Amino acid sequence: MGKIKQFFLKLWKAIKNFFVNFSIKKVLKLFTNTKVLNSLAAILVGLLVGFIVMVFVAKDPFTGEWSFGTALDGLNRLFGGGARSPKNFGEVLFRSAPLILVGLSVGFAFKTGLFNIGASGQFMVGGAAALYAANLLTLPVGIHFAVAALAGIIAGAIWGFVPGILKAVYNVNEVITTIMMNYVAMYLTVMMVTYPKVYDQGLTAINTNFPTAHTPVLGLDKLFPGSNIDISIIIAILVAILMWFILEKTTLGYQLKAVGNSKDASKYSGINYKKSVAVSMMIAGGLAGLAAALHYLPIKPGYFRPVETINLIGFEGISIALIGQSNPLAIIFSGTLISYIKEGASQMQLYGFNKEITNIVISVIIYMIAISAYLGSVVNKRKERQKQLEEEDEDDANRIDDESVTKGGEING
Amino acid sequence: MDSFYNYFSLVLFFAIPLIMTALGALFSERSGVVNIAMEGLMIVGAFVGILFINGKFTPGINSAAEFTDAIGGVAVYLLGVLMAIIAGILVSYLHAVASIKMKADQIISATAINTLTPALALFLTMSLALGQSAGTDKLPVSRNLYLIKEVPLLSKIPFFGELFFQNVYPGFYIGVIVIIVTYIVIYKTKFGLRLRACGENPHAADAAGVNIYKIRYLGVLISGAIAGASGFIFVIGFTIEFNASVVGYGFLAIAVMIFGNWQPFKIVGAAFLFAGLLTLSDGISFFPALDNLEIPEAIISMLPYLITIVVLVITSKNSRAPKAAGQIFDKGER
Repeated sequence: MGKIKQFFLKLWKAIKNFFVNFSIKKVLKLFTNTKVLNSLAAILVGLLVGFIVMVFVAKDPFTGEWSFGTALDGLNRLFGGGARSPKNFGEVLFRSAPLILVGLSVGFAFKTGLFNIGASGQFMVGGAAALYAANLLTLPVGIHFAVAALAGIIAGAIWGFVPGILKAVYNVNEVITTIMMNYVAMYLTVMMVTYPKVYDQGLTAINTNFPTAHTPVLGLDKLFPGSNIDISIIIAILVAILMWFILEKTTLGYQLKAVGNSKDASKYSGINYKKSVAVSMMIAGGLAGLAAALHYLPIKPGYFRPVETINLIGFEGISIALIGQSNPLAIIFSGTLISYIKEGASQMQLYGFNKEITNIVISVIIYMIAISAYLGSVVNKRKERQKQLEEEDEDDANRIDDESVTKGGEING
Repeated sequence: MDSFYNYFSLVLFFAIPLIMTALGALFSERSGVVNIAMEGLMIVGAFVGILFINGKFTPGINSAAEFTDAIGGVAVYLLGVLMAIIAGILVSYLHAVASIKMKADQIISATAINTLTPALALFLTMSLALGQSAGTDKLPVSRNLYLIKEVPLLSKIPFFGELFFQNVYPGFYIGVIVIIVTYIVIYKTKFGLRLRACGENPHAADAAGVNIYKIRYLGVLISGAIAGASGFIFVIGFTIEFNASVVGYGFLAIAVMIFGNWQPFKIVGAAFLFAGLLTLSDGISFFPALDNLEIPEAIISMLPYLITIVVLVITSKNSRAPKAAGQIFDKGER
């Protein structure tokens, strides 16, 4: 109990410090950080490539002929569609909550040197568990939601723990076990969906009529009228901050990162490697499970259908984690960004553009981020060389001046 | 005997693309570059290959049937495989440049490829109306045009003739060739030795005068070529319409490669074991004794994945990845 109290005291202190020391200078400094600049540049390049692709296929909706104007309209929607109205932006925030959490799931495991391809499976079992709790229990409003979300977290955590413990104890590659667990989750949830007590024949999905278990809205719809926003985005942001805190300010986080940096060095320094791996995967699974709860519990929920395909959200999570470079706070932004681009892309369909453009843009962003460090170093090297050349030029110029002076002197003399 | 024959031919069907893709990944990993882009590379190979066999690249030919009438089914198929190989090489070059020359994290650029290729395929299909009718995101595949009814002479061999030389796609033979060639290249050639050295201890190989960058480039491009071909072969064998997906086979193949401990013959064994279990849910009617137990289908479907995990736990002590896989090679670093 004392440990938990200490943890919260520390957390409180960190939050207090953040606000006390908050200054615009610091924020500006953050934006001139090379990593952040690289990411921003990558995002711009991604949108630019998206635009170029759009120019190629742009057709006037009425005449059906190639039209640059349509491409510009499309770009306008892609860039600004997410912020056209409070409703749109509310929708962006609403959709971003699960994305942020799945991104956190992959990113957290990355920090421990683990590759969690299994966020999809963890998401599926988490979603099924949350919906079971929502449908089968009768509890007061608020508490019911919390319990359902917790069920999702626990189911996801179990699904993450299995690959974690297998990696820790038997050294089984987590990439393969998480892939296998995805398929097991897929068949398991297909079986779970059609269980009569939760199945809704009309929807061909798990019943979504559970008034007490819906995610609370808490008046946020007043801020973004017309959208489906609820507190899920706040939960996602708070969880991201919590993950950042765990990674940066606690012993556990230090150990997890040490294991990620060097397995052997962490072992020699007395860190419990096995525990770290298992815990890291368990937390990652729990995050994906929570993402599913926030996806399936809202008043306008995602439908959980018995389809034998793997939910692709886990792979989106990989993208989000990579764009956020596995930093929990950056993942808040990368998750929102993806949601924003998606909203823009869905509006672009008005102009006859296929919404798959989102993934083209996202993949370019990821690729640019991958090579940004190299490109940055090339640019820096060139700058340095130019500086050197300029300095040499100046030296030469000085020398010539000196010579001419002495020569002039000779003539004069 | 009949049920065994049916079952086994289904297993072969599942196993060949798995083996090919896993062997492709092997070339990359053995050279020291982790390549989880196999899924994306398979998709791009299938996409380009199918466009080709549907006559989209050849002026004057408007449908798959016209094409096969003109030059024959097998020839079209083989040309399709060639196109798929070229597409696979081109796209894997993106991964190679990023992860070898630009020293990027190998997972990141591979993820980019996995995200890009299905999106691009769907986008192009929709935007350029490449499907049967405008507005569909599926490409038609007339797979029966490419089936070899029987190979003359060889199909007369009892049992094996029926299994290997009747009603097969040319892709089956390509798969067999890939298995043999992979084994020879990796274990019996100078290039194979260098490839393995690059994946184990690149600095030592470098000191011995091997050009690490060149070998790694080749490793990744070969993996792209094989993945492209196997994507094409997989889709032709399994579906009548292609919607820019190989249903996770690329990832399964990576799992099979790890399962096969990064060794060609073990990969073949692992793939057959896996495909055998995978086929169990589709082919359970071939085994009346099992069928009568009435195990829920979902549980039988889970079995291949669960058994793989169990086998991995048992065999994990001997598991050995190439030491330098995933590590960036920098000449200046020691």
